[in-house]
Amino acid sequence: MKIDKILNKEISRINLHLPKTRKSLAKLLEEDEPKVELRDGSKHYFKKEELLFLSSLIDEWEKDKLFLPIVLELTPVWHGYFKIHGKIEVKVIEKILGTYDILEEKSEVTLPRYLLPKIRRKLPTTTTYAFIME
Amino acid sequence: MPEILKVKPTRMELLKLKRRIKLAQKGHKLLKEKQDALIMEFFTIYDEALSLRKELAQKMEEAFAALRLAEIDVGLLKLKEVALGVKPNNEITIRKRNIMGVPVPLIEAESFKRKPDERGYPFVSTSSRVDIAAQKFEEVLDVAVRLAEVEETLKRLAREIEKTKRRVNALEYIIIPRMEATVKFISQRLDEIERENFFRLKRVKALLEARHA
Repeated sequence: MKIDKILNKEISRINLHLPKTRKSLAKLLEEDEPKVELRDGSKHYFKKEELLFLSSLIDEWEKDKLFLPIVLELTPVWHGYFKIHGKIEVKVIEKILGTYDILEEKSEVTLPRYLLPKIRRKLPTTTTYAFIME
Repeated sequence: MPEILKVKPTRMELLKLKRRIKLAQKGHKLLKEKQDALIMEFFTIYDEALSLRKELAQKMEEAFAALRLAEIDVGLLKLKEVALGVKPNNEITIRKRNIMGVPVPLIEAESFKRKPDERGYPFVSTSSRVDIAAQKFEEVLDVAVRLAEVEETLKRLAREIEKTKRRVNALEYIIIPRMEATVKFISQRLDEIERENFFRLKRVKALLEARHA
């Protein structure tokens, strides 16, 4: 039926803006035009000043381990919250929010959604949303 | 009462429809999430656009005030002559970034502010008021470019919000209710068929018993 096709297309289209492969901060800093290729084939460019800002937040050795863009996961199951995976990613986000604690090493964090504007204002090109159906 | 779909009232269709409702509900939830995220993003950028607009209005006012003073100082004709000699400023590069499937412009430009000797007009025949006016207009240019990026992003996000909202509403108020009404109709029709069969069997049994008696 036609409606099935449309719905399936809509669901498969919802995450086409995610990158095919993420690049490390160290690699992006070396590029003249830092960018990643997205699943729909288009390109997503990063702001250089944002990359420099990110590199000021982390240690030198962590630049190879921070993969960009940072994915902010939204899921209908956790309505009102979003998730971030990855140790360095969590460190960066917590530093931006001012909640970073050096004694805690988290590899995943769940945060309330009202904090999203604060993160997006600071990192508009180096963060992206992902819609997860659990 | 929502309309019902034109389908045969069979058990097969009922199962198919139930599967389709689940798919539609999944799609609806995801699209609703996307809509919420888009709205949040829109308002984040809207705040920035508002403050940039204010800044631009203020800078424009200052720039035109400085221009008026420069006109008084050196005269309109001389000012036009100076303006003709001004070198072109830095160029901007427009790239793209993606917000939830919406391609938006990413303008990266170095500052348009220049030193007086880089502007290209002679100092001898002008005054410091001309320099101030030029400097003020370069500041305007800086803000205008940033505002252009932000406002175009807002426009594109608004269009995407409208599209997503239309899809969410279609699913929520038309497609899902219509499918649910059809499921209800098929279930009722199947129950009715079952009752008819049961009654028919009872009647046949009663007739057979009457004949044997």
